[in-house]
Amino acid sequence: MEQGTEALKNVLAAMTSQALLEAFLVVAFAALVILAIQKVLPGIAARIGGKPRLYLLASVPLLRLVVIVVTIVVVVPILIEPSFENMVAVFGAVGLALGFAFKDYVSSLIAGLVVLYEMPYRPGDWIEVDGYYGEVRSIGTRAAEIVTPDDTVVVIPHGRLWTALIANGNDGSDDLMCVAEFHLAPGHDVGLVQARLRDAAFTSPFTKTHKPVIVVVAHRPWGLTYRVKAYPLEPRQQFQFISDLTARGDEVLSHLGVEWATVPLATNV
Amino acid sequence: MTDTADTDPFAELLPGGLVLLEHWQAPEISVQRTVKGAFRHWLEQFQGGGPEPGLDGPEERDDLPALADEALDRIAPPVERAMAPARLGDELRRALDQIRSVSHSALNTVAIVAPPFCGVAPALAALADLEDEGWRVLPAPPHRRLTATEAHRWWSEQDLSGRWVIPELAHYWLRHPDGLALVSALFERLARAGAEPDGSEGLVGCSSWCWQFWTRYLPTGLPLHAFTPAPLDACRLGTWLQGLTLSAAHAPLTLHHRRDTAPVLPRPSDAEFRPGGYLRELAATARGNAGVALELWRHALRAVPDAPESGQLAAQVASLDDLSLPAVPPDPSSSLGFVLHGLLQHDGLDPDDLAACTGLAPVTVALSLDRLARARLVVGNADGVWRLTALGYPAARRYLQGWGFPMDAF
Repeated sequence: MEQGTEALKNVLAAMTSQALLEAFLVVAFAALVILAIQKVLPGIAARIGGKPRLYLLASVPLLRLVVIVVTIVVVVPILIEPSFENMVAVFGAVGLALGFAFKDYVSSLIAGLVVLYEMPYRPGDWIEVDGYYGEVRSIGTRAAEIVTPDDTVVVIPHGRLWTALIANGNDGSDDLMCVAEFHLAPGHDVGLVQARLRDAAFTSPFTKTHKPVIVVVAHRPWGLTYRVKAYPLEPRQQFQFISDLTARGDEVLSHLGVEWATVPLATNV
Repeated sequence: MTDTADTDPFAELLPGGLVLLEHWQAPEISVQRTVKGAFRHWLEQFQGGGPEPGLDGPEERDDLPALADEALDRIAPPVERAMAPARLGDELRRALDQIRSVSHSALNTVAIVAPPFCGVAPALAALADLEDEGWRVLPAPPHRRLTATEAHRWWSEQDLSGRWVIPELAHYWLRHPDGLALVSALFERLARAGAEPDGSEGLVGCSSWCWQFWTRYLPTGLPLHAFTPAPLDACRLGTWLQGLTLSAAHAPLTLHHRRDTAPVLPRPSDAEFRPGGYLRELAATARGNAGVALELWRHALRAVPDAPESGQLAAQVASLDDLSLPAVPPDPSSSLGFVLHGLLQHDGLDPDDLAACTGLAPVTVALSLDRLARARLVVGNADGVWRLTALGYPAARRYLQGWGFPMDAF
């Protein structure tokens, strides 16, 4: 331990002010590059659609990681002699300090690296974590930001990766299944209703007709529930899509004269 | 085909004939062209779809003088004239006879699936004018939105015996829950007729975008044998364009690219023609579509500044990169995409049907059409029906593909 402290002292003593200035300039330049990447690429992605948008968004955290790694590789030799002893001394001391003082922070940082490797979520994905559902807007070093449908930004530390269940709706692709539900009273032609609801979904301009369009039906205490499952052109259109499916479904069901189910309200006694 | 076709290979109107739909392949495109096209598309989207054209039309990116309209029409006649329906219909008939001679199956109904601007629909309509063939054109229904009962009644009132033609199936339906019954009922009748052949022969023209929808809507397969005009690769395209030039100009005309001395099109005397890069690019940009290729070609023809004024035709060809082509304006609301996709799926629509098909408010449809018309992507006719322009089709297709719309196979 004492040897390590002595080595660290020697390393720090060998640093010159000029080296510190050079290292600062390199870090500042890297920060600017990262800032530019985080601003420009999402800006371009907002103007395009489909898969290119997702690829562009997903490249942001990867490019940032590359810049960080390159910066470390450049800065370390500027500050210290990159010998084995010096490396052990510096990184050992830094690791020890961070481990004790910023345990959760470091956990999130490491989880951030795992996120880039395992990719449980990427920018552009629609995820649900701890009851919050939204589109991943950015993946930072420590946390991810999601934007909910109500335009609220929720910051989720990557550390939640270790314990929380993460549901990912599109998992890096632009295919996100949406479901519109219809609750109907019994006593109607089930096959006809299924066919007409399928027509309603197939004719929505939002529908990806090259993906499956499915109508499933199930008995419920109040009658029958139809669930129309289809894919919108863009995951971002999911709420407009479900609204459109609902409106079109309502219209065809009204023409068929099918009665809606009336669900008794639960009351607390 | 007329008599000239037998003696003059350049006058062939349906180069390559008809091929099975599964055998259609887009002309090969170079990596350089792909990258350049993608970069240009992205740049246009980022810049906002390019500059709005002025009153005199868009300015070209090159400094070459424009070709006079008369000379342009003689060298490369407009699509309507180049693909004269009667002549193309005759050619189609010959191709169909050829199909029948090699097909081993009972061929009750044949679908000719073609991308827009290939001239198939007017050609099929012209089949009825052919003497002694007995083809009857079925009129499109007055309303597209019918119930299943009404649709079956409508078909039962039509005479589907003998030889009948539907020039464009896209005019028989509407992408609306109430707009699918007519085509569904037709397919049901065709499937039943296929099981019990009655000797009738049907010919159904179908836009590739319409075909895409119905093959997905009825995934068990449509009761038709589907054929398509063979794609125009560089070689066929060169021969076809030269044929148009010859028949229009009545004299051999050699066209050069402005930066190259090699002739772009084959000479009539060429025994073996090896197409150059320009034709390959043109064929790839048009994706083998004759109408689009011809419109691009017409757009690329320029006058020769120091040509002798002896009444002889002279022209040069501008680079495809220098052409000022329509681009889709950016639209975060997807309205433009819905309108373009709706127009393609139905081979043109009036604003009312377009509103029903897209679910957009009439005012949004009107504004979208106005914006697309200013970008030279759509044009309306006297009946109030709006269609895409051949020149704008490549940009519209690329735009729809970029935004994840269901695409045709062409």
